[in-house]
Amino acid sequence: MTSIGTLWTIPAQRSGQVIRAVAALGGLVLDLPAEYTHYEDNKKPAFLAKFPHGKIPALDTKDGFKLFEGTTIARYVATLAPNANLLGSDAKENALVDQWVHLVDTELEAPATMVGQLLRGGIPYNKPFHTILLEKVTRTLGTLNTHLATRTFFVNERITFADLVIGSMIQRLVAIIIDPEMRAKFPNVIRHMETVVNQPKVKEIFGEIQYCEKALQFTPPAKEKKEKEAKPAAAPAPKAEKKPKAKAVDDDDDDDDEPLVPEEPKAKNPLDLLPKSTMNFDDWKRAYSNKETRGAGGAIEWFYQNFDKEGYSVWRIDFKYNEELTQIFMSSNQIGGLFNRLEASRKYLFGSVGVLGTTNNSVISGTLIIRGQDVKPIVEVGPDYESYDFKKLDLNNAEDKVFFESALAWDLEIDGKKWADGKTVSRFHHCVKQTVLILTTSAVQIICIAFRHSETSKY
Amino acid sequence: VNATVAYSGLEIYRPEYTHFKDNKSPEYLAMFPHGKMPAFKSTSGFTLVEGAAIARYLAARAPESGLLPKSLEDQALVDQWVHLVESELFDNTVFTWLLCQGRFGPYSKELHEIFTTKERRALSTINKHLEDRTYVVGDRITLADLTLANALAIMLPHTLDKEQRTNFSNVIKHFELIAAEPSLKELFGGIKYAEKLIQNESPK
Repeated sequence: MTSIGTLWTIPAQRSGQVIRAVAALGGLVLDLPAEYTHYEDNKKPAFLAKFPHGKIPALDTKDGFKLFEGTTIARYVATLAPNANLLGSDAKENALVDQWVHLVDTELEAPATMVGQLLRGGIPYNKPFHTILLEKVTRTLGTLNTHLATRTFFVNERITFADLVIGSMIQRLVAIIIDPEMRAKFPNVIRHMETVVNQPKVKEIFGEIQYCEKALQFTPPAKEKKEKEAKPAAAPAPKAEKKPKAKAVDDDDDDDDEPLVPEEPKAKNPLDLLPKSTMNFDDWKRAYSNKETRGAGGAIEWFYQNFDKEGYSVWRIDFKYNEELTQIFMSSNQIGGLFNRLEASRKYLFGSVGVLGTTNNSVISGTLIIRGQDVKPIVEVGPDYESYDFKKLDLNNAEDKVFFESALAWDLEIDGKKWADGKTVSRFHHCVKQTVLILTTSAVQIICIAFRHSETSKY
Repeated sequence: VNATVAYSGLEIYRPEYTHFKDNKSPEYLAMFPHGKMPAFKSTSGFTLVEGAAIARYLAARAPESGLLPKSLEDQALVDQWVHLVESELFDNTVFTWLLCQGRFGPYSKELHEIFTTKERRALSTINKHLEDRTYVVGDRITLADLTLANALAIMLPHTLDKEQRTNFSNVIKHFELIAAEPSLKELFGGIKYAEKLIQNESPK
């Protein structure tokens, strides 16, 4: 079968998945680009000449017709397979499909994406805005749930484009903000999503459904009273092991079982029980701050001379939802937010994480040096860890070594995306370029921003 | 939707309606469970919500109007621009306005800048697109032109001052062209152009 054309997307991109699912159900073939490096190829003049807004998904058909906007592409592909009736079978059903897609695009996806940005620090946190957005999301989920009380699919009892759009969106949201309590409130929506996503022809495209145990929460910088979430999820189901810890610490009626204050005072942190290490973490942080990163006598050299690989380990961290990232400074804020929420692990953690690429074409990636061999107890003190992938690095492996050093030196490049801005978790970090952002915590941690074009000097 | 109706010449009945009151009544909610407007009900009882979906449906019912072109490809292009305008232009203008009215709590300059940046980026793409074009898609007015004009109608009094209007001159020219259409003059005429950009107006 001949292909319609090339769909520029990446496997993880949700809206791209919907397009591919439409094609699969419609019996149509779409080529995925043989060689495409996101954030690089879509910045090139050749791409921008075809797709001036510079975003993906983007469709390039065999006869030269071009299209962008994920929903639009998916709808168009559906029109090319009329027998599949993915848009319904007459004008009225068309309109109903459009209606449901539009509703979830504007009143579910858009607010939910912004909630994610608020909670991760990409947008400065604003409680009334957060509340309004959540209300929209909840209200829409309610409408969807009611409609599905007596229906398997949204329009006329067979799968349409609307089901694919909604199913894929819910799949994404149950991994982030629709927690067990919300899932119980909107069971029809969950049931529908599971039905759609597991359809044989599209199962592989959508992949596994990941259900979050706890919704992403907002945590203001440590020491401030945690703001009550307006979410209906008053007490998101905590992980079993965390519950006893939280109960030990909280002595008020807080429904917050998030360890804001480090648990050392009440419960001994297992990381303190590790055998004493030869490397002094504070010495490392000082070396990193005070020395040039690369070169003779530099911080990296210090690190290799002193690294205790039994007592510490080195990791790579990558943000899972890079297609949501927009402005560079917002992504920087997000990293700052991430580090704020890892405050409880500050003693056991060093990180150098940055945003690479350009506006709307970026990734967040970097390195962590941690106490012990398992990153999970270090990062699960903060709620965002589920939004990131962690991979242990082997410094004997050439590729891992290069990655680690570049992340420290702030010259990391991934798929052609260059390091644009970064943050370091450290005890003390001082810099003298342009904007300096100071966040103080009880430990007087100073985080600062040094724009890429400044020297790599840390002074 | 109003523009679609006006331009296409379809006959539509607009009932007596008090917003925020009538759309909470049980009768309304029975027809339109999400409780919002615009909401459409045909003479044969078919109900539909979501402005863009209603506009598209009505346009499809009046093919001679050209609001929804004939070919699938041109229709997709119309959809594409409508989607871009709605999600990246219109929404951000509304957010800016709400922020300045104090509906998102204490005014935040950063948040305001975020909305403005997004809005201008979309405007820039559209402005370039209109460099050598009169209409957004093809050579006559389509839903895309109406949607864009609609977005301009709320931007011009608030988020586009003289300087910005110069930066996006093609978009302004386009709006004035659409607003001059006889059937649309009433809807788009009389839009005030802002002297300066919307500022924080929320009570202290």
